[in-house]
Amino acid sequence: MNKFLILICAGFTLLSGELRAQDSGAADPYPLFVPYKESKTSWGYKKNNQLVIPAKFEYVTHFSEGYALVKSNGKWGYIDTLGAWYIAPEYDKGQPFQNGIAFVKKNGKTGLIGSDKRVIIEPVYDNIREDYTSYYLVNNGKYGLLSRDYPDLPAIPPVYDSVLYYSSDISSGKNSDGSWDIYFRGVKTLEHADQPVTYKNHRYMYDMVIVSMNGKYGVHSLQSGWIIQPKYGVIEFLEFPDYRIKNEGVSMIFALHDQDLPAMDPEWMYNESLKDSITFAKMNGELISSMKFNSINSSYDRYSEIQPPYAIEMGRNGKTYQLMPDFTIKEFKFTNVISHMYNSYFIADAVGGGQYILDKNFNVIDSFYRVEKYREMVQDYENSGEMYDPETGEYIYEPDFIHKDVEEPFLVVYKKNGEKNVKAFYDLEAKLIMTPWFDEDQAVTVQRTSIGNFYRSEVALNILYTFYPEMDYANMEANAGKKMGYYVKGMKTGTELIFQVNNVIPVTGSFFVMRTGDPGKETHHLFRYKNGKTELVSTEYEVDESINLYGLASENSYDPETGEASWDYMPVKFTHNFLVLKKEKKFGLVTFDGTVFKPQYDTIMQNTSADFIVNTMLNGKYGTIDLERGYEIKPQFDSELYINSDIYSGNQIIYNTTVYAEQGSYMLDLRGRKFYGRPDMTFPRRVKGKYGLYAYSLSDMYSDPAVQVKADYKYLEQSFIPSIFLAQGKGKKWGMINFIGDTLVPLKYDKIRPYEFNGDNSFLLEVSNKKKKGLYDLYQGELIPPKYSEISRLGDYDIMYNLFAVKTGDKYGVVNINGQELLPAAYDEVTVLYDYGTYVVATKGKKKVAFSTQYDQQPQKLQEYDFLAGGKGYVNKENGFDVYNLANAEFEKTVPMDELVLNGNMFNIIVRNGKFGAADFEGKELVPCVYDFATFMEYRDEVMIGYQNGTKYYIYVENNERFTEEQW
Amino acid sequence: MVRKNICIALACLFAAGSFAQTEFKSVFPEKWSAKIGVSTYRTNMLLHEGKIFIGSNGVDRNYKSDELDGVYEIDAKTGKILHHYEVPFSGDNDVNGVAVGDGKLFFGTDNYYFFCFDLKTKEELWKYHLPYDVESCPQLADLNGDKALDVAFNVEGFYFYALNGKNGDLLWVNKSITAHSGNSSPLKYDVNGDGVMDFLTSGRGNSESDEIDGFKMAHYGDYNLAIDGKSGKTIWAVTTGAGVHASPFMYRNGKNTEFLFLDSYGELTSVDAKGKVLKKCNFGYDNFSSPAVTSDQYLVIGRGALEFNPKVFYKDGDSLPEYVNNDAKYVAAEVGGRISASTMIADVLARNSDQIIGVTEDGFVFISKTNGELIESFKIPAGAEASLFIQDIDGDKFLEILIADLAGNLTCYKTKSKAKPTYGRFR
Repeated sequence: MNKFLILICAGFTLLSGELRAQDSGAADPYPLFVPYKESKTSWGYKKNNQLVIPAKFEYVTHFSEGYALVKSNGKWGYIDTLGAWYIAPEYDKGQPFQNGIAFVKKNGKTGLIGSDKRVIIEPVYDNIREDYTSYYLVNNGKYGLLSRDYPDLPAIPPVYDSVLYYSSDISSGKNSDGSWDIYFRGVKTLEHADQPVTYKNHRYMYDMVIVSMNGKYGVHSLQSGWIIQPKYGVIEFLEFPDYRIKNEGVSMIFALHDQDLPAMDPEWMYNESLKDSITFAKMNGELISSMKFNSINSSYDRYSEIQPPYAIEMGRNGKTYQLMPDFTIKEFKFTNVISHMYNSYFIADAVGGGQYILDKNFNVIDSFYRVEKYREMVQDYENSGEMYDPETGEYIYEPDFIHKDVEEPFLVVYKKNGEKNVKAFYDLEAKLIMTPWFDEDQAVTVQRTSIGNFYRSEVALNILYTFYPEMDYANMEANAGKKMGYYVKGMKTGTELIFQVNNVIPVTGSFFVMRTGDPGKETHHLFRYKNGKTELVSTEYEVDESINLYGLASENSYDPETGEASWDYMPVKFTHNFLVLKKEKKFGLVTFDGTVFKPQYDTIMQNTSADFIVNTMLNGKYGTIDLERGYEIKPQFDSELYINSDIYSGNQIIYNTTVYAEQGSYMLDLRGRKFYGRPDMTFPRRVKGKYGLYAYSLSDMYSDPAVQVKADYKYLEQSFIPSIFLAQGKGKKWGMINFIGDTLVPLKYDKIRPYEFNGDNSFLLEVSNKKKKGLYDLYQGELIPPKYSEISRLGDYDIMYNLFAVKTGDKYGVVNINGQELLPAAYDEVTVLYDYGTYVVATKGKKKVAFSTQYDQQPQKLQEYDFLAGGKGYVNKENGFDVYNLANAEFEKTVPMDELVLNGNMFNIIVRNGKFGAADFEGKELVPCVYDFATFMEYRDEVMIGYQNGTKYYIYVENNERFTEEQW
Repeated sequence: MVRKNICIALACLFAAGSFAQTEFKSVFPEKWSAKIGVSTYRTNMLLHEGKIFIGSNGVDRNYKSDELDGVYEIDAKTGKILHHYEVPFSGDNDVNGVAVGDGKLFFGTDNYYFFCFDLKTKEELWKYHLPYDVESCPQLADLNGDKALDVAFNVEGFYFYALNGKNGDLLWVNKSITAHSGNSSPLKYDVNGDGVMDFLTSGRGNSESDEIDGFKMAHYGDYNLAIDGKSGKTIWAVTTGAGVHASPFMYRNGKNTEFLFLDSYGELTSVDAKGKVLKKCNFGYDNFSSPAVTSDQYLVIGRGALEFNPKVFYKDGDSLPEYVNNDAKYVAAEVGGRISASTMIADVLARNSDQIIGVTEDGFVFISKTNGELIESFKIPAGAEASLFIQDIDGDKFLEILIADLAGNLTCYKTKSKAKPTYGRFR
């Protein structure tokens, strides 16, 4: 087709000539075969103007799908391109093949044949209608149906006024009397039901349907008959959170209603006037309980964000009951239930007065006269805004505050105290009162703060509650003098209100501070929380936040004209929080990790070369404190210690330390240890039969090297990592030390070699003892103890990177990066499977186990499979397969042998008569089912691996070409 | 992109029988009725030499061996079926649009074929095998200069074909875009002035945009286009916002000729012969009825009419297209049922002025003023998709109204009007 460009004015479209969105190909794959009419009743075919098929037919049509419909001697048949009969002329009428089928007529009756000569529908019908799902068979004005998905199954005979297709398995036929017969895969399973199968009375994942017979409802299994006899007024499906059954963790139960109510009444389940008329049954028809109920108050909703602990709540004679997921029924003795913290707790009225605090399973935790949620004052941003002040003519910002429910693990509880009530705050987790009692009318503010070191797991997190009379935000002056108390878990109760209310309580690491006393004369109570206990560290220091500490200028300006420099005092920018301690003009600090440096310094300020270093000064001398590690160098230097960034940031350094610039002819590390050469100028030297480390001084390259590390090793050698040395100790064991003598790898291994190097700060070593291997990380220590003959990573990326196949004897297991054994070394082989997920697969004999690598943790459940495919595990059964979800090893369903379909990327593997083969996605067989077993080939979507009589074949499914192992 | 949408307050749907009580035949007496099978909104009727020609979808549109499928030749005076043109082999041989000329009958089927029959001998002259169904009406014109009528048509999901009327040989096929659903019947007009009829139609090609426009994509790939009758090449194409089922309408606006296209999401585009978009406006969804314009400049679509004179249009800036301003009135008849038939324009009430007359699928015929105001609606025995046919078919100088309904009947009704219909037949 010629391409051309068309210019179009405004509103026109630039057209490149290729507007076509699809090209479905030629209508006729044999366009050269042109029908040729020699006379009215003599037709043949020409090709390139040459007669190729003689004009011996009464009528011909074009070739379609390889064959042409032609008429001969009054009958219709099909010929091939050679003019030979493919299907002999036996039909009164025929249709050219379209999509592999053709409607034909014989003796006045219509049928359907396939282009493979198969008779799909015998020509015994007056007519046939076709739609996307079905063939509708018509005889004498009556209808039947044949599913297009199952043309080999029996057809529903054309004896119905109408037929209703529901699914490829299920259809219904309407009788003249208005009743319906229901068919399952072509077999009549129920007669004379009041209604057909529709989405209203069927759930797709189950083979049962709710139907009525003569106005009474029952539940009918399409394959096995009545599960619940039809004797109920109404039956309703209810979802049930039965996590033992797989289908997104939901199954069904039935609500059975005695009374005869209109099925379309949407309110019937909630009609409390229905007395004792509702029961429940499991999916197998078994009654859950003999109890009958008046109403169903609420039922399970899988899509709801908030899931109650029960499945269904029912009413009966003024009482409330709950059907639990284990099918037990509990009387719910509470009313006016309020959820707290998204159903983690509940507040409910108690029978006879008072209120309960309930846990998520509705067990009573405690009871009080009254229980409420805490409401905090928050700014209402929607309504806050500027107000016009007519006096000043200006707009003033007027924040507005509102109270809002707090979903935190504490509640407000009340008790009677004479004629008045009092209230306190209740810790739901510790189950105790955590504050003093306040007047009922007293507004109290509770703040909840986390304390603990988030970065060091050994210091547990806890919650610090502080409480005080509510702040008056409109008049802050009125808050002067207010006192607060505090509570931390582990305490039997909170303190009295003896501490000053400050704006912010500096909480650092596991420390917090409370202040008592009058402003200007406060006592600072420094508390430390550790190991579940709170201890008072000191009251003798004044404590402040590091943010309030001003240090040396971090910026300065120089005016060249005047020659003057000026310093700007800037807030410090420490990377690690700390508390400042002051006493009698001396300064100290408490690091985030809890290292206390008592007030002994004249001043402390930020080191200008590093954000994690504090300079200390005493009598004019400088020292440092490393806020990250807690190291201290006592003040002894005339000038500030300056971190040598070149060395620190050198890309060869993997040892996480920093060194200071030269102090004379030596340098210091952060602990203050001296060393004389840079790490890269350090080398081993043997002295008197032992090895130590020497270094050339940076300041004097020509002087003799100085001792860096005393010669105390049996052997030292520069390792494969710069500035790190292999060291052999007295026991001939090996380890590694750094240039300054720190032991990085303890000297206890027979061998050390690099496992791998990824160029970053992590470095993995293979360590071995007695020929058993383990893994050691230079930063993190021993990851996997040396007890395996082999260790290899399972994958190159993501979660597989942290899983290792380990070998003991001739068996393999799986270990994670933390040395945790995920699979014992009991398997013949361990591999990785990428198939609708990532799985570790271990083989033992002919069995396999598999688990998902998603969490690199020990699988909770291991199931043995016979084969795996499509993210599923299959276990052979006598006449089929049990199917499991590989991700969690949960059973899903049992599939009959011949219904097994393994979904592939380019074809499916199917089973027929117990043999495996391949089919396209429409079900057309591509590879005959002759194999004893078949599976997909990894990384080759077009290949199927089949086993036949013990021989393994590789089969190109597209053309069914196969190769043995050798040929492959 | 349509700038201004008309807020269409479509009529609420009344239950059958709740509004129109008058039977149509009480005002327009029935002349005859013939059983011809089911028809669709793509069905046309032709009057040729005293006979009515109409295609049929048979007893049931989905029957695969339907004896009523085919084309019917009916005596216009008596309603007697003179001949039933049938496809000699089985399959879904539904016929929608037909064309008659040069003593021949032309039609396509749902069975992937296009046929030509001799009107005299009733014999099949030729047939052409296609990749899919022919859903719409064919057009006849001499495309190759042999003084014989050739035929052009579109194929659902495929292309636009022109066949030699004498022998069925392929003259050309335009594959630049597909016919999409193929429901839109082409219009013929010499767009490029070369003396050979060209064809205006709609189809789907590549989308020009990935953007979303409100509830839908900005462009699904649909175009209104003109195809050169001589070569089959696309002369011009303009975008439209959705698939097209309605057929284009040509009307003369003074000296100018405009072509109206309507897509299924209600975007109406007016285009001149050179493909310049002149006007745009928007109606509601589900438009299967083709637009038409009355002589007093009302745009008629389905059950209503919109002012279509220059005063209701405005330009946004200096450039085209023009848009309908919000003051423009659209008046729709409140009559029950969906409308897919195109509304005709004729003076069926003998009032010396045109009315618009249409039919619904629920079995109502409505007659309104050209401005859309309902005059009256009537009940007919069954609903209809096919557009009415209004002409003097029997030479008695009075107009007749033909209704092909969904019960499979073609019924002829008498009128008292001698007026010439302005727009009396769909194609």
